[in-house]
Amino acid sequence: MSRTIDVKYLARVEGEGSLHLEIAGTRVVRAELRIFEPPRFFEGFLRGRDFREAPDITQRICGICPVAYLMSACHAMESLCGVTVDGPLRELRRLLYCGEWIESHALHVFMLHAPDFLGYPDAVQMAKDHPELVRDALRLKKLGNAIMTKLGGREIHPINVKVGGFYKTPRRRDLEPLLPELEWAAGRLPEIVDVVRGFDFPAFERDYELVSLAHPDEYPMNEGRITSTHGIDAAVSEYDTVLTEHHVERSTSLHSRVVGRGAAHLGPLARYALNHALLGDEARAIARRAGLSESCKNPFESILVRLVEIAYAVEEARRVLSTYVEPDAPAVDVTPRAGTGFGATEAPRGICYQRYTIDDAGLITDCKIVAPTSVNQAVIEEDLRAFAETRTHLSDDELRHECERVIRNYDPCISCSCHFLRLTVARS
Amino acid sequence: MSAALPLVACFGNASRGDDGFGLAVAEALSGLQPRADVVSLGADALALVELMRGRTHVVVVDAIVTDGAHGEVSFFDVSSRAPLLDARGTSTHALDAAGAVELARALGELPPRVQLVVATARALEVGAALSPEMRGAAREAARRVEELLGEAARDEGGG
Repeated sequence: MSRTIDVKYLARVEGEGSLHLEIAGTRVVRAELRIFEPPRFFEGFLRGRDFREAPDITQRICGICPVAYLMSACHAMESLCGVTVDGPLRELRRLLYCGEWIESHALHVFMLHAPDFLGYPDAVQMAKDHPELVRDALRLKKLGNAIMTKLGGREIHPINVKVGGFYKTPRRRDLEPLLPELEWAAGRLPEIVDVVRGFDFPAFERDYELVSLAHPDEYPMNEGRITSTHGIDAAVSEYDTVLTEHHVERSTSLHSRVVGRGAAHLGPLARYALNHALLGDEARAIARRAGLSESCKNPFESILVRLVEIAYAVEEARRVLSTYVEPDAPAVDVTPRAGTGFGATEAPRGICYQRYTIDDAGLITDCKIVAPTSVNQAVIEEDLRAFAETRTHLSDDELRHECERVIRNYDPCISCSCHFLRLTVARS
Repeated sequence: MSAALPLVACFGNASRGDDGFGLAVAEALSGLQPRADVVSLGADALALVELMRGRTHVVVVDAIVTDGAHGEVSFFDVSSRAPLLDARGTSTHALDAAGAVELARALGELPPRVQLVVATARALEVGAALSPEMRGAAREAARRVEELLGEAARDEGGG
């Protein structure tokens, strides 16, 4: 017996894509994540633009993780121009990233992922029976947004970040009002983890090549080398030699593979496996409370790892606030010079890589942007095939639901990736 | 901002043609403050759930797509009826205004008086300006919002 299962529009993911499964007996012969959002051509219309415009333009790729795009662009341009941003300005950039991780992870953990485990079609239905989870989500997201607003001028698409630093830096007293809510979050997260660790996680693990930035002194956000559980250890400037892109007909988003091997898995599981030793004491305590060991290869348990990373971002934000010294200047001067620069930072969904070439006048002549969801497409398809094959006895509707869960484990940001969800299942 | 004041929450995107309707209404109502909190919310409706908390009267302003005439202004009393709109969508990285209202209702936090003033949009192209039909609708909607605030104040004995 054969059958085809299609999910024409995936729910609780950002952007538009579909899923197509073809099943022959008990074997899944095809599992395709189809991304049909139109390409957005950012790499095209960045050409000819001044190098200082890249952060503000690229951050428009995403309304959830704009910090990842603008920070990767800043780092690429600064490396190209031989500039290092350190001291308080580097700390403020890290604080900005904490805001993005808190608001993005809180939205996914509570509003998008938790309904899968509690048996609700969406957060609105879940809110009737679990209002405390939704209130926690709203409060955490508001906290993340408040950090973004303090540093970026507004909560979405910050307008205060530039190549070399910021347009204006906050006074210490401007940041202090953030502390009470950060203290609330630190106190509330252990109780949240106690609820989430009780969810029924499907037994599903694979030997992923987990890829993330790694930094010798800190859990990676803005900086680090590209590393993996299977031996990658490369500078950001060597990204194109370890991860390559290729087109597949079913997706307007380019796929990626590790050179000489296969799919890469980016995001919270990768960061955690490769950097858990650099978590703060409070985040490590949350990980222990969640029952996590030093590595997690069950993508359904990514909800726990995201909670650990929220705890880390809360802890790190408090550290930055408590040690903040107002900088002498809001930015360092950056003078353009012809060449090619590379930037990679850790978006909530994984590495966001950018490469720019500029001329002597500082105009962009070439550009490459790789969104983490784009890279994760291949590993999502592998998960779909492996997971669905253990559940071919299910009805089409049940299988459709299970497969959507597999995809949501990755918190895919489809609009970002386009350069992607309908699910169809074909059985034979 | 005070929860004791009525809230007029206006949604819209000025870079998407007729979707700028809500923002035009907010601009027309800027003189209402401090009698009411008038806020422009862009597209992030989750903020509306927070802003509604503890209030007694909320008016939500937004552009909608219907079979109605271009620029036709409509009014709905949301709080006294079953959900008017399907709050679920294919993308929930951000709720729409209807989703935010239904989330507040599910949390038991929907204010006692929530009203929706909408206008039918047609031209939503990126970069387009607000059409003349929707500019006229914004003026009409602003007058309607002021009437609703006045009715609520009279009902509450406030004048």
